Amino acid sequence: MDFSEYKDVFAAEAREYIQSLNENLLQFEQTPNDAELIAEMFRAAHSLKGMAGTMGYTQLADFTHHMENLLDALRNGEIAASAELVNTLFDSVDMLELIIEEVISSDTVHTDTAALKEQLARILDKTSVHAEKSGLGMAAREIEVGDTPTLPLNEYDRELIKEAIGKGYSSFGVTVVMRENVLMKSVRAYTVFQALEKLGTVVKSVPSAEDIDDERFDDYFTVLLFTHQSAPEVKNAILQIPEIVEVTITEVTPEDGAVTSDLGQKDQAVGGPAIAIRRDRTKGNGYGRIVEKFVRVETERLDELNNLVGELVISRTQVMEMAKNIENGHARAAVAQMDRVTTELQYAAMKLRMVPVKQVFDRFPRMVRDLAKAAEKEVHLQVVGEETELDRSLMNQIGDPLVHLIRNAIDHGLETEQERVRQGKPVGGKIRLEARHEGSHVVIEVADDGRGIDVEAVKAKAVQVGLITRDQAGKMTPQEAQGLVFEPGFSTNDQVTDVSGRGVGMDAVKAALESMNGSVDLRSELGRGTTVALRLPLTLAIIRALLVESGGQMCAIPIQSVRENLRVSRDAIKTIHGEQVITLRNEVLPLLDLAQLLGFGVSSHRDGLPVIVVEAGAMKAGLIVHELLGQQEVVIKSLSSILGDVKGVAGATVLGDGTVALILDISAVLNELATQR
Amino acid sequence: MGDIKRKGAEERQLVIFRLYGEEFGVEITKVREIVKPREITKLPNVVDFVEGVTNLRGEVIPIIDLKKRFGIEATEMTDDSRIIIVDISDNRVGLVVDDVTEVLRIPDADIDPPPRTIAGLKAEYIQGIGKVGERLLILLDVDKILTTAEKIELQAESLQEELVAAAGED
Repeated sequence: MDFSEYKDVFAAEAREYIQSLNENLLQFEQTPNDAELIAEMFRAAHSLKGMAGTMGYTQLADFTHHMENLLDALRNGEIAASAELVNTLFDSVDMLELIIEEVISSDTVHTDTAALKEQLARILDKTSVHAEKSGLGMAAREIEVGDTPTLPLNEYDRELIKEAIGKGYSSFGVTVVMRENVLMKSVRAYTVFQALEKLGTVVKSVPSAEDIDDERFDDYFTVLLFTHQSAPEVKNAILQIPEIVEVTITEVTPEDGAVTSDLGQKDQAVGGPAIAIRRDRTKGNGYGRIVEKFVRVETERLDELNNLVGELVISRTQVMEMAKNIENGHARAAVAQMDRVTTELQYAAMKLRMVPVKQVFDRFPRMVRDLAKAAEKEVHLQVVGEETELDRSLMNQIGDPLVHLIRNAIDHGLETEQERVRQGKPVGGKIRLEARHEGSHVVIEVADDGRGIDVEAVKAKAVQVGLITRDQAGKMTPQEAQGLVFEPGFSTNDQVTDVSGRGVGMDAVKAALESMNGSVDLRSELGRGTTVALRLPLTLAIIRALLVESGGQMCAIPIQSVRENLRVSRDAIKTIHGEQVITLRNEVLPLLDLAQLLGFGVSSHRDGLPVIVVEAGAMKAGLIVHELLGQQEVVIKSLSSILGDVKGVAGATVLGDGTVALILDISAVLNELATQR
Repeated sequence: MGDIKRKGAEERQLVIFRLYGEEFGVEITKVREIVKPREITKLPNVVDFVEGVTNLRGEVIPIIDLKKRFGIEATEMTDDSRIIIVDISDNRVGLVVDDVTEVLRIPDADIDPPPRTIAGLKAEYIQGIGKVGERLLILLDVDKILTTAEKIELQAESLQEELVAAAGED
């Protein structure tokens, strides 16, 4: 069978199960006696196993099977929770995640899971010897099935059979026998069910589908099948499935079988447990889950929709421009209406791209636990506002900076337990991760109640590495001094950052945020803690930009990178070391010709040149342009992938008159320049 | 390439265009449309044969000068110049050519497999050589030409000679 088309579904569901396992495991570590949690984890592992088995990922199914065994023993009270068990389960979830990603990308498992499987089995063995003796083993739970497979029929079944035969179906009782002691019986059974469903309709099974799912059956089961196929055809199809040793098919008539009058789920028939109509299977596993409120849509389709809406917004601008001169009142009203609807459509389409930050936040409880353990600190993570929504493409980029900030907070922000006690603080450090809306921005904050930033230490370090002079340090406000941690080259030495309480790779965080058209803000109080706030635009698809003309080309500079616009007279330009500079409020700025920088020729140096002061990362410069055309919202279009990475260009946009303007990546432009020197 | 020459009445439709007097063909299934020269926005830091990008009904499309791609002088835009918009490996790209002459149907039987190399153009960039009466057409594999980083240097002067020689071998 070819399941490749279901792979996306498998991937999405498997990742959800991993996430749920992680969450429950974290909770379980705190409340090891919560039976509901254990049951939930067991179900997740069980469903994963079933999915893996159906997809033919036997190694994955096998590993999950080991995990499931342990969880099952835990669920039945055969073994008790221990630190070793919890840690092994955490390791197993990590392993699962790893091998799931492996099968998703390459259909096979490369990682050796043997050691961990052994570890899982060992814990089970070591702790369950006692349980075995007291008769609480697996065997005790198994429900005895009569020696001869019988298919108990009730009135309802008989009606169905009559109807089916009337419609020309054959009604078969199919008994499937598996090899003795076969592993993963329920997965095999599931495969059989899948095969049977292809041949016809499975009406009921003995034992019930749920019992089969939970492996509460011997080596065989019987189903009632309505099919157009002949008995030998059915038999052959089932025998194709590995580990199936025997298939017996008998014709079933309405008069056959053990008869019960009960129409409900409870069956009183001798020799068979509950009757389950086929659709009951959907209850117990991840397949066929009915999702009414949500649909999964390919992200490309969303992008396409957003692109088209972007077009419409541009056309709207054109129409509005032309409509300015329209005298006709009706026409004006129609244009106004179109304007309004387009704006709403744009907003609605944008909302489709939004996903809750939960998707990123979800991984942090686990990460904090591990980091806290490694740092030997007690850390309480508080998550606020995880339902806040953010553009999907930003979501992918925000993870790394957040990891960085949280790691910093735990490693450098929070004091050791002894130090906290000395300071009269609670032993457990607090980290708050909060997301919220602020106007057209989303703010994500990482706050700790640690030692805070020592401004003097930061200044001393900055002087030491040559970022500032001693004089400058003296004049700096505390805010300015704290800002130094964002300077590249500030935090190359971890030891010193331990003193200052912050700083490892903060320049990287800042650069990442700027590339998303966002910004970073830091507030810190010595001894009280530090809060780093990331400000992000709601969406990446549309940005505000300053339009300029340079070398005969239109360029759009994202407004986040623009500090101010100047008119510079020719005498104000000085030359230092062969480079042109201007002095702006005692700051010396390199002056660059944008056209030249982009290889579009040289701008004419007339008097009163328009100069845009741009800033990215730690770099600031004045860009000479030919003409300044004002601010505008532009729809970002990425450049064709065939062009590769075009340095200095973040994308392109189509202006109202149809010309293409390049959206500049100021950070890349300035970096390029810095490396050239 | 090898499967091009098949027995039977199969034929292919080709868009025929000119570069320095020689006739080239590209399969019509690859061609999206043919447009007149238009305003092109230059790009910084790209290889020389990328002319820039243009707006085709709201889509930003890279424009490539095929002559420059073949290592010969830049195309002078004339009234005859055209941009052939092709779809290659999920990308839409415009190719600047001197002139688009016609759309031809050529039976597969009249398409020869490419020689190992012709005037500096390797066989991997050519799908075949089409024969229409006395005319010889080079069927370009535009996908390969635009996705490889390899430098291509076409010797335009000897092209006709080599073409005739290659066709004669058959």
